[in-house]
Amino acid sequence: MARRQISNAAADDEDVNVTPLLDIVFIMLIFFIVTSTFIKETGTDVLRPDAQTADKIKLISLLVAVNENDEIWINKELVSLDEVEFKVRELRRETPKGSAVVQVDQKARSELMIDVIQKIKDADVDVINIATLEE
Amino acid sequence: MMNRKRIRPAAEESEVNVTPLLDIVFIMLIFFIVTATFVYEDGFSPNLPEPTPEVPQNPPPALLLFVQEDGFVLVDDVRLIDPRSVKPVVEEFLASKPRGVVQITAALESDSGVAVTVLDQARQANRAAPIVIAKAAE
Repeated sequence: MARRQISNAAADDEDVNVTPLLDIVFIMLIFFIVTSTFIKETGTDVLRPDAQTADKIKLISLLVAVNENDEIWINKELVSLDEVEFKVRELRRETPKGSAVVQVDQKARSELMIDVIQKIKDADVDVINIATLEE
Repeated sequence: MMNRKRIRPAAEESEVNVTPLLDIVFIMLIFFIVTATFVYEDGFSPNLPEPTPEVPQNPPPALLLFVQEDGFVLVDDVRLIDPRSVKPVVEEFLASKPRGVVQITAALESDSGVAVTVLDQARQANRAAPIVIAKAAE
């Protein structure tokens, strides 16, 4: 009887201690939960304009792209200018925090760029940025 | 000695089994790693004019920069300059009128790349200065 209990204790000691692993996994889990923002990609490629005074944009929650053919893309869908405000409001309900970023192609028309920014502003988004080339 | 050994196995058996917890945590971790999309963008925030129908009593002095369709910039409806040489013009204007406003107007058919270059040049002159960008009236 006593012998069995000794061997039992030895087997228990050989078990891997998972507590540090669990600590690390929890920290990674919390990191990914906090940083995940579920951004909807625009689904089109644009050549961003170059700028010297650009800053890093923090907390991006909404992307709108205007490509060189003067098409507006939100959430991998081609939308018309009149639909922009509605689409932005819809996406805004899912992620109310953060700023909107307009990716404008260098060759797009200025009128469209300013109209799109105005539409996003009308949809009650406070911070709107124009994306530029990264240094 | 014997007595101590006999107590320990019993204490260890009463520990909580963390394996199912670990399974769930791992699945959540993998889910968040897979769905995480890190979007990094550089950029700046443009200032659109506020819709004020009435003209203010004492409008601040303004520098008008009109971005033309051909890619040149018309300063105060007089001078024609290259978009990359807007910075010294804005610096000069702000030096003479510290409370001045820079008003960029983009022609409807002008390239947005040029408009953004002009905006960037004006920001290079003074980041704190009020710079407004608008499209030309139709």
